[in-house]
Amino acid sequence: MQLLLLRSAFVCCSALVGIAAWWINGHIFANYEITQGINLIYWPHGLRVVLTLLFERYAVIGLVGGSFFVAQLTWPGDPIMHFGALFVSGSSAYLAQRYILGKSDHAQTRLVGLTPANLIAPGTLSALINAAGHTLLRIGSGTQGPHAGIFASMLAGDLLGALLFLYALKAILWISDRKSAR
Amino acid sequence: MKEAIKNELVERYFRYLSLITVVRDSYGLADLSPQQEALLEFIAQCWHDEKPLSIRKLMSTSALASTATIHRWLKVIIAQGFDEHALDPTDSRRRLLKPTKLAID
Repeated sequence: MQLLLLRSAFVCCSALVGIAAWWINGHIFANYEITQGINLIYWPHGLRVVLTLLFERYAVIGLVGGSFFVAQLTWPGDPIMHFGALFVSGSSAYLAQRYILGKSDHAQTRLVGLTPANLIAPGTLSALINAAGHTLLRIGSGTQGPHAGIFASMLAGDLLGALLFLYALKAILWISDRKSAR
Repeated sequence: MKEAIKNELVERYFRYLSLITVVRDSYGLADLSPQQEALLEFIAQCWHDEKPLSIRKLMSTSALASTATIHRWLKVIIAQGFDEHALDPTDSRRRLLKPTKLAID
């Protein structure tokens, strides 16, 4: 029971952080929005990658739950986007992580395949899955628009966002290391 | 049950440590961590004192961290262009660690 509560806390934490990141990003980068839900700099994607690396499937459940809330505001009248987008955005980082780190439990638990040289690889692959998934959903739901352009801008936004988030994290660590070394 | 919770938290903690280590050691900001700087200074000091170090000697003499950690830091230092290998003039089979011009500057 206590273990279930702990795992539920991971899920809730991921959901709340995901929603908060979406909300904050919307305010900071409002001028960079290409179309509804697609931003040129989307750092919450980087946060999703980090949350998934930390909490794995619990992060996926939380992020899907958080995306359900976000989808009600973003695509209120479109059931395909409403339900499809939350699974794509919630699970893209996990799929990328499974592919890059390998499927063995040891590799997954210890993040064995994640190295300084390929740190951005999960973010890149996740951005690709996310952008492709959303584009296919848009086509499937009959949404009109320049799908290739939207795919490219979403890919760029997710990639830039992941880079921005990871390097911000690195800068924070670098500053804290400097302070503790003094 | 408490054991299971402990294991779960330990697993998350080690994942967090792995992630932080990877982020810290990743390239991009052309700088080194204070520990990596200390290692570079140690290598440069030995080179300056005309007692250049081989990798094996560095592992056995440096008390900064474990051999695995030093090896990891050394890879970062070399990748960022602060250190290079030089052939030992007395024994061509050995390679010595030499600070680059970038490190000296």
